[in-house]
Amino acid sequence: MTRAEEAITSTTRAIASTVRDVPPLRLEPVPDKLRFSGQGPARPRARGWLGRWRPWLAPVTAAAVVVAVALALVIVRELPSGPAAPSGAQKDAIMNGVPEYYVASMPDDRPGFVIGNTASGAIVGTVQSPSGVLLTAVYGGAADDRTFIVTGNGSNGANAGTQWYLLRITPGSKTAARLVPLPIPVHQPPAGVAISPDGTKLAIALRGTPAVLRVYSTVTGALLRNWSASSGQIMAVTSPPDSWGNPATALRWLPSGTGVVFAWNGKAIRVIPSTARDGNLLASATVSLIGPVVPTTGITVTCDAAQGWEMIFPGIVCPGTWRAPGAPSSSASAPSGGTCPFDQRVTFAFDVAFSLHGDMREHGPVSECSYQVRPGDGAYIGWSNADGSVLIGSLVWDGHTRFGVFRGDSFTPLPAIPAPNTSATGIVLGAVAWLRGGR
Amino acid sequence: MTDSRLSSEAAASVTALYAEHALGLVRLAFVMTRDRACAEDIVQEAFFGLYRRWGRLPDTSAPLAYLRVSVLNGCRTALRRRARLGSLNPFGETAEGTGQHAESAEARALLSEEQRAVAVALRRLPQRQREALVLRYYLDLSEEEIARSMGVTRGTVKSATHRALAAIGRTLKEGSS
Repeated sequence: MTRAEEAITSTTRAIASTVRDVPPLRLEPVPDKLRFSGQGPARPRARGWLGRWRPWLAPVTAAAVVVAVALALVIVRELPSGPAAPSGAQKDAIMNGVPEYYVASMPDDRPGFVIGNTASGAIVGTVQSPSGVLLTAVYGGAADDRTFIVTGNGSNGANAGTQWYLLRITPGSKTAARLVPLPIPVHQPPAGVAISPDGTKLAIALRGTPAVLRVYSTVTGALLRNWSASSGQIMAVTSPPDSWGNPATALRWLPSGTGVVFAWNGKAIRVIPSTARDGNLLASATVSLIGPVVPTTGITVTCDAAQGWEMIFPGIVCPGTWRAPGAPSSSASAPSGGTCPFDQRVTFAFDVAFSLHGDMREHGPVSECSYQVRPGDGAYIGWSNADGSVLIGSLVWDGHTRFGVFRGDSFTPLPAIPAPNTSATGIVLGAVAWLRGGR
Repeated sequence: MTDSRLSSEAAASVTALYAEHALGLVRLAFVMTRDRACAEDIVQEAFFGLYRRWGRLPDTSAPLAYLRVSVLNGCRTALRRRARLGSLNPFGETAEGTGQHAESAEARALLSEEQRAVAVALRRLPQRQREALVLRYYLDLSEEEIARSMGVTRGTVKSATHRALAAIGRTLKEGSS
C-alpha cells in the first residue's frame, strides 16, 4: 500500500471512529401537505422523518441565513411577453405592480437557472451550468433589468472556487439568456455581491480580517476600488464566522450608481461613495442607519404572517398580519398559560427592508415549548416596490413555506414556486434582484 | 400477504437491519459529508426508504447494498444542497480558507496534521473521486462492488481512484516539502 493509500485509510477510519452511536430508527410517514388556515384543524406537527430532517438543516442554515441559498430568486422586471404570458385576469390579479418574471435555481439534479413567469409559473428560458461549474447564485439590480451577475463553483483545476458570469436576458431573441464568463480574480465565497445600475461595475464584499470591499469592472475584470477594515464584517445578519452569510442582502449600489451601500456587522448600514480613495473602508463610509435588532422576549410573540395564515404554537394561535417594511410591528401576546420562550430578531436593512429575516433563537427552557423555532424560520423578501408596500417573498415557518405577493395585509400565493424540492427547508430567497420600484 | 402483515414484517426486518448496519452507514455518511446530524438523517432516510419499498424490492436478500446506494445518493444530494446553500462553499470552509467546517471538535482533535491535510484534500476532490476512495479505502470494497454502489463502470472506478490518489499524493508531497 502506498503512503497515500495508507493515509486515506487511516484518515477515513479516524474520522469514522468519532461516530460511536446512532439515534433510534423512526419509521414514520412523511407529512407532505401545507397547513392552511380554514382547512380544518391543524395537523399534528411533524415528529417523524421530516421532523428529523430539519435538525440537520438547522446547523446548515444556522446562524445564518438562510438566504444564501438553495434557492436563488431574481425578479426580472418588465420582460416583454414570452411564450407563456399570463392570462388577463390572472395577470391583473397577481401582477399589478409586481415583476413579471423571475430567475431561480433549478432542482439539484439539473444545475442551472430558469427564467420563469411569476404569474403562471411557466418557464420561458433556462441557463445551464457551464462544464465543470455548478451555478449557485444569481444577483440582479442593473437598471436595465436585463443584466445579472451569476456565480458558480468550479470543481477543480483551473476553475476551482468561485467563478463569475454576466447573465444577459435577451427577450424576444432566439437565445433567451446569455452567460458570459467574467475575469474577476476572486475565488473565495463572497460575503456580498452587487452589480451597479449601469451594469459596468461589480461590488464584491469579502469576509475575513481585514473585511474587504472591492469594485471591479464587469468589462475587463480590472480592480477599480479596494477598501478594507481591520475589524468587523460586511454582513446583513450577524452570524458566526464559519457559517454562511447572506451575500444577496449585504450589499447594493445606490440607484444613482454613485456609491455602494453595505450592511455592517448586522446592525448598521453604511454608504461609501464610489469615488472614495482606496484604503480605509469605514473612514470613507457614512452611517445611514443603525439598528436593527428588535427583540421581543418572554411570552410576547411578534407575528409575521400574511393574511390567511396562522402561525401555530402549542396552545397559541397567533393570527398575524403582514408587517410592511418600516411599519410598526404587529404583536400579539401569547396566552398566559402558553409559554413559548424565545426571542426574535428582525433585521431591517436600508431604507426599506429587503431582509426581514427571522433569526430566531431559542431562549430559555425549550422544554416548555414543544415547537422549537428553527434558524431559518422567518420572512424573506425577494422584491419590493419603492415604498415597500408590495413585496414578493416567502414566509418560512414550521417547515412550510408560503411564497407569493404580499400587498398590505393581503397575500396572494404565486404558482411560481421556483423549486419543487425545498419543502423541508422552506423556500428561502438566495439572491435578490433589487429593482428600483414597481411599475 | 395483507398490507398490515407486510408492513409489520417490513418494520421488523428494517429494524433488525438498522441495529446491524446503522452505525456503519452513519460513519460512511459522516466520512462523506463531515456533518454528523446530516449523516444521521441521510441514514434515517435510507432506512425509511427501504421500509416504504420493502414489498417492492427486487431483492430483499441484499439490503445492505441497497442501503449503501441510498446513503451515497443522500450524501450527494446533501453536498449539492450544501454547495448551493453555502454559496460556493461546499466544504464549509471559511472565506479565509482556514479549513473549518461542520465537524466536531472531537473529530478535529483526533486527526494528526497529516490526516487533517488528507481530510481537506478528500473534501476538495470531485464527488465521484471522493466516493471511490472512501469506498475503496474505508469500506475496503472491491472495484466491482464500488462500481455497483456508485452506478458506474469498473473503468470509471479505476480512473477516478487513480486521479484521486494522484491528487492526495500531491497534497502529501506538498505537505512534506
